[in-house]
Amino acid sequence: MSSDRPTDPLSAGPGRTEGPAPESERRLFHLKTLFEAATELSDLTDTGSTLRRFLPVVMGPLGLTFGLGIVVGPDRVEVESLGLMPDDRKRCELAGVGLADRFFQDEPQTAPPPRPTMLTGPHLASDPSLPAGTSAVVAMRLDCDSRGLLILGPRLTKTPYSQDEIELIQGLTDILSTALKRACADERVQTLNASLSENNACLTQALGRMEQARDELDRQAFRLRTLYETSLELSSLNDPKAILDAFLLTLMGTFGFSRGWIGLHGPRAGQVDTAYRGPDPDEAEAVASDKGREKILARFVELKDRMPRANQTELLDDRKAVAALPARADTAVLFSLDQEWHGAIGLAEPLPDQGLHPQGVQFLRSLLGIFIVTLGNAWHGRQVRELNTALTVRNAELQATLDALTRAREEVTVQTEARERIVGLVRGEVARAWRASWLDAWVMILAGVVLGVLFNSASPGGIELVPKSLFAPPPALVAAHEARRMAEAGQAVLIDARPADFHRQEAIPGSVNLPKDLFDFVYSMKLASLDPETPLLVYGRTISRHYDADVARELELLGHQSVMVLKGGLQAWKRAGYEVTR
Amino acid sequence: MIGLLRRILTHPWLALAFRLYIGGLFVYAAMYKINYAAEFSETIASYRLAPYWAVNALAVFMPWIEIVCGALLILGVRVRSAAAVIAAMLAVFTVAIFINLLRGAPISCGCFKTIEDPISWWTVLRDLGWITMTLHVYRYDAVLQADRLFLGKLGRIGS
Repeated sequence: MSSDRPTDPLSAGPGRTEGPAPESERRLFHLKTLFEAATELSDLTDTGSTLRRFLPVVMGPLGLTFGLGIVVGPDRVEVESLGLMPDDRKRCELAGVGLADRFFQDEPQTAPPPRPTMLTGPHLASDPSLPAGTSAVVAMRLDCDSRGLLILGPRLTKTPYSQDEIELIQGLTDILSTALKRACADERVQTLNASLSENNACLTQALGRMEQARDELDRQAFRLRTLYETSLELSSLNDPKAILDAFLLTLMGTFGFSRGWIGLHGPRAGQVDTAYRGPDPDEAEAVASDKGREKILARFVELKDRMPRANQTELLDDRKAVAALPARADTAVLFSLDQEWHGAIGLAEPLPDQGLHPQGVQFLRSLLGIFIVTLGNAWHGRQVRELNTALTVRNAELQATLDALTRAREEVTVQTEARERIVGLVRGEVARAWRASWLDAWVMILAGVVLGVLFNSASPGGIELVPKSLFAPPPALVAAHEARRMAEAGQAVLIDARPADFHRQEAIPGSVNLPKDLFDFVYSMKLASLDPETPLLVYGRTISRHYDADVARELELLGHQSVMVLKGGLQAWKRAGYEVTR
Repeated sequence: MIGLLRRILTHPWLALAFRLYIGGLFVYAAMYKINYAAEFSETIASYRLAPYWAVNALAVFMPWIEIVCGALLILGVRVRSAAAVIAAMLAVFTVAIFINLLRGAPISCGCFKTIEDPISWWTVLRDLGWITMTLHVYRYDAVLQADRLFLGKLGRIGS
C-alpha cells in the first residue's frame, strides 16, 4: 500500500531553512516532531495505517525523498511506502520477507523485542536488495512473530545525518515501534475478538444444539422410563384383562388422550376381552359386541399385505379405516396375538398440545411392542393354566381309570389265581381219580363204617359193637390142677364153651361141649338135670372170643351157684401136662 | 405169540371183566354177611386173629366196606383206590386163612356164608387168584369208568 498524504506543515522546519538554526529551535523542532509523531500514531490500531501516518512524519523533518515500511508477520507481509517509484515498491513488496529475514535471521525467536536497530551509511545506497539511495534502515521486533522494517531514502540535501537527526530518527522509530507493537497487539486483539466472537457464535449454536439434545435426551429418558415402567407394570400382570386396562391407562397418560379403548376378540363370537376409559359406556359395549368384532376384523381384511401377523401391531393411518372402528378413535392400532385372536386399540380426544405427534410414533411402536409381548405371554400363560386345569381334571380321570384298572387287574389276578387253584384242584382231583390215594381209601373205609353202624343200629339182627364181656365182672377162676382134681373126684363138671368144631378137634376128656350159639339146646339135653350146686368148670377162651366167660354167665343166670372158669383155658391145661382128647 | 398173549393179558377189556367180577363178587359176598352180622362175627372170631373187643365191630363194618368197594369197582369210580382196598382185604383174608391152615383150625372160610367147606390150600389159591385179578384191574383198567366219563371233561379245564 502506498500513501500520498501531504506533508505536515510542522515538518517544514530546519530541513527547508537555510543556514544553521539555533540549537534550541532545532531541539524544539525535533521535540515537536516527536510529539507530532506520537500524536499521529496514538489512536491508530492497525499496522498499515500506522506506517502510512508515520512515513510523512519521518520524511518531512528529515527531508527524505522516499520512505518504506514493511511489517512481516507469520501469515502476512504489509508494505507501505511514500515517494518510492512503483517498480521499486513492487520489488520491495516481493522482497519484503527476504529483507526481514536478512535483518532478523540471527536473532533468537524467544528473545524479548529489543529497541529498533538502525543502520546508516553510504553502503546502504548501493545495496542491491534495497531501493537505490537508501540512507538508513531501521529493524524493529514487534513481538515474537512479527517484525518491522523501516527503509529511509536519501535526503533532499544529500547530506548525511547529524547526530541529532540520528537521535531524532531513533526517537521516531521508537514511537513507530511502540505504535506498531500496539497496532500488532490491537490487530491480534481484534483477531482474537473476531475469533472469540466466532467461537461465541459457535458456542451459542452448540448451546442451542445442546439444549435441543438435552430436550431430546429428556424426552428419550421419559420414553425409556415410560417403557421401563410399562414393561415392569405389564410384566407383573398375568391376566390379559388387567394388562389391557393397565396398557390403555399408560397410553392415555403418555400421549395425553382423554378417551381410549382396547378390544381383543377370539375366533368365536363371545370370546372377547375389552378395556375402556371414557364417558360413554355404549362405546365399551360396541367394542365388545359381535358387530364390533366384525368391524375390527374388517380392518384386518382391508390391510391385506400389511395385516399384522402373530405378535405384530399395525398403526392405522387411513382416516376412513379409523372412523370405521366400533368406537371413536383419533389414533388406532391393530394387533394380533396369533392366527385367531385379533384386537384393536383406539385413542380419542387428545388434550391440548398433546396427542400422537410424528416423533412419538416410534415411541408408540415401542410401547406396543412391550404390550404385545406381555399380552402374548399372559395369554399363553392363561392358555397354559387352562390346559393345566384341563390336564389336572384329565389326570384325575386318568387316575380314577388307573385305579379302576388296578382294581380290575387285582380282581382279575384274584380270579386268575382262583381259577388256577380251581383248575389245580380239578386237575388234582382228576389225577387222583386215576391213581390210588389214601384219602379215597379212608373215605371208602369211613363210608363202610358209617353205613355199617347205621345199618347195624337199625337192623333187628344187629349186634353189639363192643362185647358185654368186656365190661362184665371177672368170673371166678380155678387153676388147672384144682380143676383136674375136682373133675377126677367127680365133684365138678367140665364144660367146653368153644364151638363144636374146636371141641371135636381137641378137648379135655369128659368135658361137655356147650357152645354159646347152641346153649339152650345142649343145656336142656345134657345139663338140665344137673344139681345147681354142682361146680361147673368152664374153659374155652381165644384171642377173639371169651367163650368161657359168656357161657359161665349164662349158666349163672340159670341158677348154677358154682360156676368157675379154668384159668388159662385149654392151653394152661395142656401146659400142666394133663390129658386132652383129639 | 408172546406179544399177543401180553396184549391179551394187558388188555383193558380184560381188566374190565376182572373189575366187574371182583366188584360183583364182593357185593355178593357182603350181602349175606350184612344180614347176619352175628354169624359173621363168629366166623371172624373163629380165625382167632382179631382181638375180642374188635370182632363185632369188624363184623359190622367189613361187609359194608366190601359193598362200597365192590360197588365202586362196578361203577368205575375211584377204581384204583377201591382195587387197592379190596386187594388189601383179600391179602388180609389170605394171610388169615394161611395162618389157620398152618394151625389146622377146623373152620370154614366164611367168605360168602357161614356154613361152607373148611378152608384149604385151594382157598388160598382162590384168594391169590382174586388178588391177581384185583392187581390187574389196578394196573390196566381204563374203559367204562364213570370217573373218566365225568372227570375226563374236567381234566381239560384250563388246557
